[in-house]
Amino acid sequence: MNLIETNQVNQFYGNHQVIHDLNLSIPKHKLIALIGPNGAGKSTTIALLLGLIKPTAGTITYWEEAFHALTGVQLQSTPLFSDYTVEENIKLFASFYRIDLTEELLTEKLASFDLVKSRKTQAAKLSIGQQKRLAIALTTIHQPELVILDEPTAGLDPKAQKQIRNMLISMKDEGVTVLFSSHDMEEVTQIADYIIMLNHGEIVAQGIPTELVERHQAKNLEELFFQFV
Amino acid sequence: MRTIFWITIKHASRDHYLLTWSIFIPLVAIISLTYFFDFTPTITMLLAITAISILMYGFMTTAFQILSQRRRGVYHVLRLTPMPFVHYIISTACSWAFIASLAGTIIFLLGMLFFQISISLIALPLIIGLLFLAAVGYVNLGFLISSKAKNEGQMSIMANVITMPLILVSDGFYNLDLAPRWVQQLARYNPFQWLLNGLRAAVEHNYHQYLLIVLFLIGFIVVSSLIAARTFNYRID
Repeated sequence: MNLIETNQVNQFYGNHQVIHDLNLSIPKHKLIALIGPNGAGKSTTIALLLGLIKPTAGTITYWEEAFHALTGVQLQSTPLFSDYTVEENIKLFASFYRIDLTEELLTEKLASFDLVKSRKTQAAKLSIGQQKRLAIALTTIHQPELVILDEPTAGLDPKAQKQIRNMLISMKDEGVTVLFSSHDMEEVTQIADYIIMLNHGEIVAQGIPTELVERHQAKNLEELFFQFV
Repeated sequence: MRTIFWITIKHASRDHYLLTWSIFIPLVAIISLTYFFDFTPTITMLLAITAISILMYGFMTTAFQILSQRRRGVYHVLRLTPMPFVHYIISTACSWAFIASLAGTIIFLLGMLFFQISISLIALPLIIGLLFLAAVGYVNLGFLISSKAKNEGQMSIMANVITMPLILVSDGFYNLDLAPRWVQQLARYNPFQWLLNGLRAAVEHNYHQYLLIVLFLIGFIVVSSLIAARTFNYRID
């Protein structure tokens, strides 16, 4: 079953076409990587999938009409109330999703994202890795079916990157479908079980990584990536 | 909505720097007028200083906070949640208005002390209530301009373009009887003038006028909330 399907989606900014005939599927219970070089159209694709921008042409079908309530989102900029504490950010986002956040649930959330010690720290004073962890914690506050993350590991040191990757794997193991954008092939190889490869606003490959590598007679995902970009 | 209200209040009350300046600057004006100028303190002057502090905190300071949150992408994500944006505006506007009216009340009470002015006990809650209502409306105006400004520089200019006429086209610090007729007409539609009129009505126990101003301010809140919600710019420019 697919959570989202796009049909011949095109997007223009003025006369400039940024997305060309996008036909993609977001299969359920997968850890999906949206990959492509800088400027490939990853962020625009995410904005289209989230309904932040309306496609110039084509249609997008969702598994639920009220899909926003079942989707967690972290955009490229880390959208936190930076003057508020970690705990206050979590409480605020819980209220946005109308979740009755008990103290037990809050502590559990803080523990799963390794934020217990910094619960009273202002978000602006957290390290970039902690801020990313908090941003991801906020995307899961309402137990979503789909989580969309725009370059969740960008700008992080290897240790923080590993922590985030483990979190994504845990989310998938808990039954959440995760779509993340990246241009780090090593990361994608390690964790993704489905990929959508974009270049110049077009899908150049889509499917299970091992099958794609085999089909295109590449040695690995990185070689496949360079075949297309 | 309750969570948003209380967390915003908690946050605003932690901002000692902002609070100190919101109270400190009007207080310096009061002390200077008392000790360094040949000036007879009046209740009208004190009400005008209090009203300005409400306008500045409610409008200017919150507008800057909203701009900075917008630029961080918070509202972009908020738009993707089931929370209707107008609910968010109402909750945060009420919190900021609460803090603004608290600061305004402190200024008014300290002003009474320095100016050696007394008012009736019944007038004080009426004044506080009016300060709160006006502050909610001014915070909504803050939402409005923070949607249009792309950076702090633009915000400063826009804030001055709005606050200056509001203050100048009012009789807070001078009599408008000698002003051109069109200025007098404009003052009738000025939400800052409404606050001044209401505060004076509270002190003079003119309850009919007071209630009329309360209705005007409620109308102002409803209209400004709707405009703020409809025109709000979620984008990260």
